[in-house]
Amino acid sequence: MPVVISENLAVLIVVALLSAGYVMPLLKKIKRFRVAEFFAVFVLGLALSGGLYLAREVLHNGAFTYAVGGWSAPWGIELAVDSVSGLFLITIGLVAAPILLWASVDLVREVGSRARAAWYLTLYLLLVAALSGLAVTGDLFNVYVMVEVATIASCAIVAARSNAVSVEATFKYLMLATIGSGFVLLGIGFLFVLTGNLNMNFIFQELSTSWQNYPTALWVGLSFFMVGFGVKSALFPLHVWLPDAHSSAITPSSAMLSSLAVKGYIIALLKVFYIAVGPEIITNLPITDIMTLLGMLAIVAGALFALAQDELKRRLAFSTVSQVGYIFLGIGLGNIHGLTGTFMHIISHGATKALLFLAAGAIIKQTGKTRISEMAGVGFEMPVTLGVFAVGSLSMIGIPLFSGFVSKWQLLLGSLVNRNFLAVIVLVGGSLLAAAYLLPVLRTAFFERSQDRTVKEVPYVQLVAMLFLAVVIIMVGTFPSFVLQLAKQAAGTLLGLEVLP
Amino acid sequence: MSLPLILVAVFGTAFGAVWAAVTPDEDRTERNFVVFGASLVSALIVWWLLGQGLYSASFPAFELGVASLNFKFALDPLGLTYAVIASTLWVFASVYSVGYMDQEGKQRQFFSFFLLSAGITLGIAFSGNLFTFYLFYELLTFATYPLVVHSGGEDAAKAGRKYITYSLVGASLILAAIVMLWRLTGGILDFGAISAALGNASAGQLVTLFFLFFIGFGVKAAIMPLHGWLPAAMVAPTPVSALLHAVAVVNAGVFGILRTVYSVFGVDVVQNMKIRPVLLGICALTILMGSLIALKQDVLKRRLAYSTISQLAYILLGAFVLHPLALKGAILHMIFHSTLKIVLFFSAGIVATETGYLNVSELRGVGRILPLTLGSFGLISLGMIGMLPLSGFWSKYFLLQGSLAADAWILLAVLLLSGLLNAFYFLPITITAFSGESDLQPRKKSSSLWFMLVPTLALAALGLVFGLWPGLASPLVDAVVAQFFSL
Repeated sequence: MPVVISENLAVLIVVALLSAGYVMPLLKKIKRFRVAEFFAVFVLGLALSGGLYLAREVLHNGAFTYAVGGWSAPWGIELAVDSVSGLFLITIGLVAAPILLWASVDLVREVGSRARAAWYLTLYLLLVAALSGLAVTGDLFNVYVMVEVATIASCAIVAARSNAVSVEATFKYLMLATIGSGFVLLGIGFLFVLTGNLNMNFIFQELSTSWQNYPTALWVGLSFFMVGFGVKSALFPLHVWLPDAHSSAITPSSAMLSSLAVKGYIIALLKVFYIAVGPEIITNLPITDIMTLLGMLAIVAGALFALAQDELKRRLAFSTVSQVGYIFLGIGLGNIHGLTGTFMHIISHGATKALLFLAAGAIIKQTGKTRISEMAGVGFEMPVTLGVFAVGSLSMIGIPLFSGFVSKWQLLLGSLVNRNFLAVIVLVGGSLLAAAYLLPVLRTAFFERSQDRTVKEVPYVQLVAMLFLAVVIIMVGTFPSFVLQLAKQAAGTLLGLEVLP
Repeated sequence: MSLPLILVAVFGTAFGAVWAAVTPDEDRTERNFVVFGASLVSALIVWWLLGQGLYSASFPAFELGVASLNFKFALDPLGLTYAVIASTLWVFASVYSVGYMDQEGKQRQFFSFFLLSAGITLGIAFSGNLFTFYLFYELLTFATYPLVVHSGGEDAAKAGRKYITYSLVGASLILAAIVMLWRLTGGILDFGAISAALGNASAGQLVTLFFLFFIGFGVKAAIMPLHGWLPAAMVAPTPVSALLHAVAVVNAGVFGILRTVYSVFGVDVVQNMKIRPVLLGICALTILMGSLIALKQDVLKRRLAYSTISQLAYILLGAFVLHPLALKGAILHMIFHSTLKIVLFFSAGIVATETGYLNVSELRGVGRILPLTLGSFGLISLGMIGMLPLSGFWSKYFLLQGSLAADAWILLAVLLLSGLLNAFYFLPITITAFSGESDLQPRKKSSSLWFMLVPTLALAALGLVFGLWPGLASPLVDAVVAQFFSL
């Protein structure tokens, strides 16, 4: 890789995604629109390879900062590239590219027209750019900008199919997400007033000497972050917008939002809490206890809600509420294992939920059936789709050899280190509940017979996209060393510990 | 040399499963040969390993460096015992299944999962650490689920749901226990190395861990009150009931408990925990309750299922006495019960396919129509009761010896009482079958009958052979005992 690129890679990933996004509307006139779609996938692939390169770099040579335009902080914008960024960039690339590849098959038909499809691509790339921005940003101002971009873009891709249901869902989502942004902005305001800085490292240094002078103000500020990011990442009980938005949107949007968008805000939350404020202060405030509690509630409640749904996509949406609970539980545990579990779950759930949504979308598209109870015998007509759905389900339940197991193991360890036996019970029970809401889908699809035999498998491009995600899940589950090392280091970065490679 | 062989035994059957799955429905013969061949190859490998191990008296362990997963296979007498039982009976069951499934549909699905389960069972047997064990144990649930629900319909779906719920709950307890153990030992999960690393664990922690494992594995071992799934799972086709619910799956649970007691905690640690009375009490209760409930069952397969529940507890009882003689009895019972019970299931399956009768009360005079089948059933049920010259006598003999040597007099009463109950629920079946006239119209026997009859007769003969020469099994069994007790 040329030096110019490798030195500026951190910012180039975001810039490339942004500029590719703005090019998309210009491409609607070209003869074959598939070219534009494949170009977008290609850019995402570039972003993935950039992310992998950065992750390797960070793993070997440690974290570094990058001053945009050569202006150093606090005057310029500073990007902080560490293992957290590396891990999330990889997640974004691994998940966003196959989703878009899957979408490319019938995007135009799904959203109505070529022009709309082109704008959809723009919004999609903007969302990915914003999430990548959240991964590398080192100051609170950019956190806010990226959060806003991500919010608007995700609202817009929910509304891509302009029927009444999705518009209503979008409106609900927009309202709540805007309230969330407001809270985040207030939180940033508090931190700015307390420290006079927006750069996370500066805030950290400032707070470590002076936070005892105004603990209440800090606590209030952090609560604002908690609520703001909690709404956006659908932390129970702030999840009310999610099931509607994720189940009414077109399949690629649901997959994207459930697997990546909610995680972006969690990464932002982690950065604010652990890098800007620092682990010492966080563990002194009751915030981690609240997160543990809400995480456990989310795991159980989300899974119970999911059980009650007969519509496949709604069931998957509620499953996201439950799985986000795992991530927050790991943050709440606050030790190295818990946070490693959080990061592993971010990547594992990202790939898994994307795969499940894509497979669900494939079933719905080919059969026209949205309810699980109607899906008898689909497994025989669409063996590959249901096969990868099985892979996703096993990963979600946390069976060894699938990625979900790795994160579950770390979270269990983290709970044991804290002697939090309730969390152990909830984690184990949560995966049983996941079995309860996912396995019936497979049972209906494979062990019940249907009369009509007209359904065909989806086109092979979509199969490739789904198989790619399935392979990612199995590879991460079977050979976790690279990702696990990255996740451990990311957890170490947040806690200020040295993690030996 | 042994590691590649183990891999072939474990994954070769998986390859056979894929082969069976892609063979078109018309090529029945090809699929049957694949199923038989794959089972035979893995059985031969296991026997070869057994010969090697017994002659050289050293059992190598292998670590497969799959990254940080710590995947480990190891050979030891206990694992080999389970492997020998399962893989040998698998060969017989594969012949039987060919006959039994002849008229049934969905053969591809059946035989693929049938073979897949064989490989996974061997994986359990050869696991060298708890993690690998857990992996295969969990996979076994998923690979056998399609076999349980094979017949389709509401009953099968219900039984499948019950089976998977019980198994997954059990497995999650095991996972929780493994993570806790990992914390306590600092990452050591290898069998045999764990108990030394448990030095600074408190008594409370040890007991908690033990019961997590015990309950977790107890689900598959069908300890009362965790046995509910087993009678329900009798809706499965008979080869499945015979192989999985008398041999592979239930013995996987028993094997797990044996591993927990002897390879994870070790005899001394369990002895010091002072929980023996509780464990023995649970086993005694299961033995008696299982027999009592079996008395009331009219559906033949359900009666056999409750008998299995009762007999599995014999093995556990022998294991929990913590005495060399009792362990010898337990291991012998594991071998003999499997070979005997599978014959009973095979016979029940033949009766069902040839006459359509499923209930004991319908069997009047059926012995005249199927003399060889009911003859083997009658002979082998004597073995279940524990009479000479059947193999079942010897395992009970050593169990009694062990109980006496460990001063557990009450167990003597339990074992004798249960033997009596066995006689009460097994003998009437044979007597009914050979008395009176059946009102069944004579009809042509199906062409596949011999596929079912030959394995049944061969295994019945095996029961007799072991009964007359019990010493045949002792090199292996003595090796297991020597592995855990320094005599």
